[in-house]
Amino acid sequence: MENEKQARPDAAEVTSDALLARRDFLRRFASVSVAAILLGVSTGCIPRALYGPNPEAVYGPPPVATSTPEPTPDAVYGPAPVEEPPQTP
Amino acid sequence: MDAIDLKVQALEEFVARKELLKKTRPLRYLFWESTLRCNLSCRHCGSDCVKSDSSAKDEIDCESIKRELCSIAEAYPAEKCTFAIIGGEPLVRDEIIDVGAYAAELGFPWGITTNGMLLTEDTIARLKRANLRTISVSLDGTRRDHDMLRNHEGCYDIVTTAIRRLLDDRFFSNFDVICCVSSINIDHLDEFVDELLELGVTAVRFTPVFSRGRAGRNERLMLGKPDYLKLLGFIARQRQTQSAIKVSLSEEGYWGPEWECVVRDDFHYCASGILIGTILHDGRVTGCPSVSRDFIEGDIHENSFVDIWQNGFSRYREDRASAFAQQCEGCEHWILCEGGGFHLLDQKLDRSACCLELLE
Repeated sequence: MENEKQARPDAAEVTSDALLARRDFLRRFASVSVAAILLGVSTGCIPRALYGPNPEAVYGPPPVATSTPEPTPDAVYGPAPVEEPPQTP
Repeated sequence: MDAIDLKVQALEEFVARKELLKKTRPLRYLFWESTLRCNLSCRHCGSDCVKSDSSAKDEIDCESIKRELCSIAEAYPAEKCTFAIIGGEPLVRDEIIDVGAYAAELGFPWGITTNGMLLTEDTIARLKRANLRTISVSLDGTRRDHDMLRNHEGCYDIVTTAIRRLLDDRFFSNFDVICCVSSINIDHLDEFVDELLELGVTAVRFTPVFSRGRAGRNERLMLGKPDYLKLLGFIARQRQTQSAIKVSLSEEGYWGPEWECVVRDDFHYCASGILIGTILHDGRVTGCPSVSRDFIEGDIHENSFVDIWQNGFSRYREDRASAFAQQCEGCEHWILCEGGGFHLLDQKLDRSACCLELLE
């Protein structure tokens, strides 16, 4: 049967030095992250996001579409697939 | 407590929850790769699907899948586990709709991922009767890009007709479009989203082309660093500015603090072998359909899926760090990233699983 309720994360697996380093990394991550990271999501396992205030400032201007001459489809898209048997890993 | 403290607290909680899930492994998503056969032969296909029937002889029969579903429903709450039928193109195997109906009777919400070529009015009606709950249709850009990538002229028109049929029917509320982004279509994504809006599509997921299968043998399609940045920026901007369509990055790995929780709702989390299991077309069992075949955990010809799920998968769970040691040892991002997506790891090819390296 599903044993979600019995198991617990084992905090003892993490040493104090590793814990400090981990906290330091998470603080640096959090200070760079432009998204708010929230608790209390539907699955209970993955935080969800709120978005930053100014997308242009954060992500820069929209990309400009470019196009180049495309002589033949295969030259652009690569060779058309040839039927072959499925690979056996 | 300031904003950074709150974020750190959330991340600590996230890490703790991930560790907990490795121990509880509640099955939430069961893929069934129903067939390797496909009615298209796409240039960017991430698998080795074939148009011929050569692989049909290896396909697991539907009664076996039904037996597995039955035993899974006895062991786990079916209503919490989505049963996702994929391929190949699943609809080339007509009988999968009956398997879906059976799954629905057992309580599984079920869905399919399809290229849309066989979504006729009749098939859509049968899917409804079988209580299909979710459907994802592949559309890889504007008409020209889609037809060329799909290697089939007229494909775009057929698929968009099918999409209109789905959108016209309120039954299919959990519907989205999946778009594989390659070097071919990356500069036309704005135009593509406009077309989706015109169609009335309300959700699209962009997946970077994946170097496996046929796509792995077609270097021209692969994305470079500027392309990845362009894609991430595009998605982030769309999420800021579009209210009529939900745009997300799908599947790929961990993109670091600037992009996590920005390009998709959720923080990166590879649930392969933890929340997600797969029965391949020939009965072998693995985490996700796209992971290397080095990570097969069993075969339903020999053991039940439940048995394999409960007693296997240590490489995906407690031994995950060992699987990624070569690429990830000593990396401080490990606790959040855990090697990115398991499908990005290929030990034989010594391929890096690191999305951050792609952005460096």
